[in-house]
This record gives sequence, structure tokens and C-alpha cells, in this order.
Amino acid sequence: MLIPCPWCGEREETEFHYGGQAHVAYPDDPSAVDDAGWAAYLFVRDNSKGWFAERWLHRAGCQRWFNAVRHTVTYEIAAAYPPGATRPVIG
Amino acid sequence: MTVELCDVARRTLVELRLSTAEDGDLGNTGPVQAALDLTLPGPGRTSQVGGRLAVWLGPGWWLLDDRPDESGGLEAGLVHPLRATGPRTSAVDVSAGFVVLELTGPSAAEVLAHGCSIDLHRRSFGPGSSARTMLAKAQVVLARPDDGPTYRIWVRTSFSRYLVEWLLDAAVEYR
Ligand SMILES: [Zn+2]
Repeated sequence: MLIPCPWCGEREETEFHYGGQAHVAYPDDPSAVDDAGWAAYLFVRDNSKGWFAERWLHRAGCQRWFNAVRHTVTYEIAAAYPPGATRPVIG
Repeated sequence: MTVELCDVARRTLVELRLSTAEDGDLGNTGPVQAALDLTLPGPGRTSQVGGRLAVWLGPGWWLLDDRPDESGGLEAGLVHPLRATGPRTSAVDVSAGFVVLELTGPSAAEVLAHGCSIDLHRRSFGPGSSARTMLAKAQVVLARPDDGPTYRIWVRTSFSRYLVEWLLDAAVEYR
């Protein structure tokens, strides 16, 4: 699988490190979050069939984290964008 | 012999970080570029002047490769230009951390292709190209600085013996 790094272009999957679901926001008020809330924040992730926004690290290349929207069935990658950018609308 | 491997001894290597240039805007890096007497290259590119070579590694991140100089002059000469450029900048001498190799000859790209997943054909990796990537499962910086069929490889010192042995083995059929 080729993954398009926003800075380096398409590179082999083995150059990258997977970082799980993207756009998981840190709690606005951490002190107000109970144990169940922390457990959900830390461990509970979407398990969607279809387009999924996830984090990748270009470990062997520019060493930058970025986000990519990948199809979990076909492995097609529709978009790759820098962290902080909003998720593009796919499909 | 259509391919030759050599150890480029005692190069001065400096890793340069300029947070101000992370978005690709080199507008305020003038003092650094003036001190180096070269233009810092963009993504996937190299630039050179005399015996000094700059290689793009990532956003705001370059490898400088210069003539042998035991005095640390390259790193020291960047201190004031870095201060003038802005916060969160650094230049660190990493000469001891890497071994610099050069693979030359008509078959050089073919030898590298045995263990490298990027397309080394001239149309996509022509003169002035560079990549921080994997070669035979070792982390390397790879560059083709000019028009000749010469590839320069920077590899961690601890991986160098393994990589040299791998290259010699991969080159056997091209001798
Ligand atoms: Zn990259």
C-alpha cells in the first residue's frame, strides 16, 4: 500500500507508523471528566466500515504526523492532510 | 565494472531545524541562507555550492554536508544567523552519527532498487532529488546531487557495516 504523505508524496506503507483514529479531541475541562469518561476518551474508538479518518506518522521520512481518510474495506486513501486541518468531505 | 561503492570520509554533517520555515515559507531564513551561501532546497530536493550540499529532510528540517573540518566551523558559524531567524531553531553537528557512502555507475540505481521502494528512475528521481527513506530495511537519506549516476547515502554509523555488506552483495551481479 502506498500512503501519500502531505510533504513527501506517496511512499511505501512500511515507512509509516499507525496512530489510530484522528480528530479525538482532548476534554475541554479535564477535571470534570469521571472515570467512565476518561476510559471512553482513552480507549473507545469508532470501528467503522467505510471511510475512516486516522493518524499516521511518516517515521522513516519527514517524521511528521498527519491525518488520512482511508476506506477500511478497500484500503483506498481519499485524502491526506496536515494535523490541525479540518477533515475533508469524502464521497 | 558498472558500479562502484566508496566511503566519503570525514564529511562535516549538521542537522538544521528552522521552525519558522515549517510551512515552506523561507522568507525569514535569509540570514541562514546567506551564512551558508546556498538556497535551502524544498521538498525532495538538494542544493549545493562548492563542496557544500543541503538536503531537504522534512518541513523546516535539512541535512548539511560539507567538506572535512575538525574545527566545528559550520555549526559555529550558524549560531548568530539562527538567532536572527527566530525562535526554536537549531544546528547540531551530527558528523559522528552517520557514515557517508557513494554509489556510482550506470547500474547504481538498479543496485539500490533491490532494497528501496521509491522510484529511482530519472523521470521521478532526477538530478537534485533526495529522499529520507528505507534502504534494505535501514533508515537512510538518499540523494542524487547532480547529473552523474552518483547516489550519496547517509546511514547511521551503527547500521553502516550492515548496509555496506548488503550493497556489496547486491552489486555482485553488476560487476
Ligand atoms: Zn513525509
